[in-house]
Amino acid sequence: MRRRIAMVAGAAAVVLVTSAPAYATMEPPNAIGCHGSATITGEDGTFEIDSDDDLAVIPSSGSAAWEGSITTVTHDHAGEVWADLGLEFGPIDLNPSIGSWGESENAKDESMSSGVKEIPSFVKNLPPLLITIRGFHEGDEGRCDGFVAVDFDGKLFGPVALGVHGATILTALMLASAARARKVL
Amino acid sequence: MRGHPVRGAIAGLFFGLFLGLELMMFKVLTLGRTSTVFLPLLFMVLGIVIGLWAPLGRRRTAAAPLPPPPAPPPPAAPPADGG
Repeated sequence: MRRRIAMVAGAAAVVLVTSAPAYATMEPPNAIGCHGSATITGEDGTFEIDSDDDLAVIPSSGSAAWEGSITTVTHDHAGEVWADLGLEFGPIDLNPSIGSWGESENAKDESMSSGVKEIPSFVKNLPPLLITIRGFHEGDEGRCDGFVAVDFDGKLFGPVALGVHGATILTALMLASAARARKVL
Repeated sequence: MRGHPVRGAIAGLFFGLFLGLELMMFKVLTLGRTSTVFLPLLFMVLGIVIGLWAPLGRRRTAAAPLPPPPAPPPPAAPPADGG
C-alpha cells in the first residue's frame, strides 16, 4: 500500500510541477503585428496592461480604456478572446468566450480599435483568479495568436470564495468518511 | 471489512475540483486543465483506493481461539476370553 500511495503522490507532484503558470504573450510569428493594451483606473489605483507584458494584474473594480492594433491591415477578418480553462476535448470546446469580433470586411482599412469598458459590479464578489486568457485575430493577410496570464485581485473571503472553502471542507470530510471501514456480511 | 468506494469516487472527484479552485485562489496554479480535469480524476482514483482499503475505524481483531484438544481415544475393548 505504501508503494501505491507513493505512486499517487508522485503523479500529483508531476501534475503540479508541469502545470506551473507559463507567462507569455504574442506567439511568433506575429506576422500582422497584433498589439493590445489597456489602462484600468479604479479605487485601487491605475493598472497598465500590455500584450508584451508577462502578467496582467486586474483590479476588482474600475474603468478600462483599451486599445488594439495591427501593423498589417487585414480584411475579411475575425477574432475571439476566451478563458483557457483546459476544457477543450477534441471538437468539444467548453472554454468560456469573453468576446469576439467579425467577420468584418474592413472596407475602411482600419488598423486599430479602442474603447472604454466598465468592470461589471458583480466582479467585486469574485475570488482571486489566476487564469490564462487566449485570443486570435485572423484575416486574409494573416493571423496572430496570443495569450496572457491574468491575476485577478479578488476577495479571498468574499461570498464565492467562502462557498469554495466550504465545499472543499465538506468534500474532504466525505472523502474521509469513505475511508471508514464497514462490515460486509 | 471494506469502506465506501463509490462515495470515495464521488467525494474525490469534487474534492479534486474544489482543491484545484483553492490552489488557483491562492495563486499556486493557473486555472486550467490541471485543476479542472487532472486533479479531480486523480482524487477520484484516490477516493476509490481509500474506499476499498478503508483504513479508518478498523477494529483490531482478537486472536482466533485455539481449537479444542482432540478427544481422547476410546478405551480399548477388553480382550475376549478365548475358549
